Amino acid sequence: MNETALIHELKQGNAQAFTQLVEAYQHLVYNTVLSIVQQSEEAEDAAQEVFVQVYQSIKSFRGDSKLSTWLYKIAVTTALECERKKKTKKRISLVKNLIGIGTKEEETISDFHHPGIALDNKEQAAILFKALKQLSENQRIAFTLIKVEGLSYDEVSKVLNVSVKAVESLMHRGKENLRNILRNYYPENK
Amino acid sequence: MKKNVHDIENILNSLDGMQRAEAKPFFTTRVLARLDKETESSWLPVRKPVLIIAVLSCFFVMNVYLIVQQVKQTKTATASETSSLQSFANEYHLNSNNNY
Repeated sequence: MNETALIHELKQGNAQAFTQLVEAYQHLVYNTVLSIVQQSEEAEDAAQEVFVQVYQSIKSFRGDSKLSTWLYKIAVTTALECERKKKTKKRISLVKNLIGIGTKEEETISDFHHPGIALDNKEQAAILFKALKQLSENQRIAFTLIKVEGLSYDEVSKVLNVSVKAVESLMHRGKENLRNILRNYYPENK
Repeated sequence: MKKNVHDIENILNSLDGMQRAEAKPFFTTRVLARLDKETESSWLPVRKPVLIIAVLSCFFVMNVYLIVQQVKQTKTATASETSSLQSFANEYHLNSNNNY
């Protein structure tokens, strides 16, 4: 089934078409959200949520962009939403602990190791993923989509709804910020 | 001592040539199960607190209305019962204080 036919069938509520969509795009969605939330259980949950949203809003998809672009948009939004919820939870538990009504949960902050990274680069990639969290959302998403998902600047511009020039600028500033973070953040390593 | 430029560039390029992470097996099954669950619970959106409050308020108002109606009916019935008893008593001269 080609993309146009698939979208048509999805809009008709065809369950088989939906299964086909999930089968075809599950790794794209999972890899994208995993690289943003940097935690496998949360990524699984967010990826499922992406497909639920796709099912619920397929009728609003006008077909102006590729299906994959639309999926990237939903995946990025869902992953960022997941991040925000996590931060809010952290703040609430911090306040609870301060006023003495919180349960003492030991939070283990471990490095994120992406399963698709070659063994030689694992440590360096873990440092990079940690540093990425300090970038602004758009810089981080542009960098992630280009480096992790291998998207072109043009594709990223469609996902982020900005111009190609803006994506180039985001990447340039993102890399500069990463250099500064890495220069100052890990001084003890060398 | 700070990291040197070479190390930093190596870190920046550490994602080059990476493979895509894959979702765990039976991902589709789990998505379909979640969708079923969400569809089941969405026919009655009781998770929204506003709706719960609205429904409970309706019940409360209906109950108050029914109680008020019930009290009114009881009062009317008592009044009519009293008047019919009075007329019965009058008819048979039962309300006099005569002692035979």
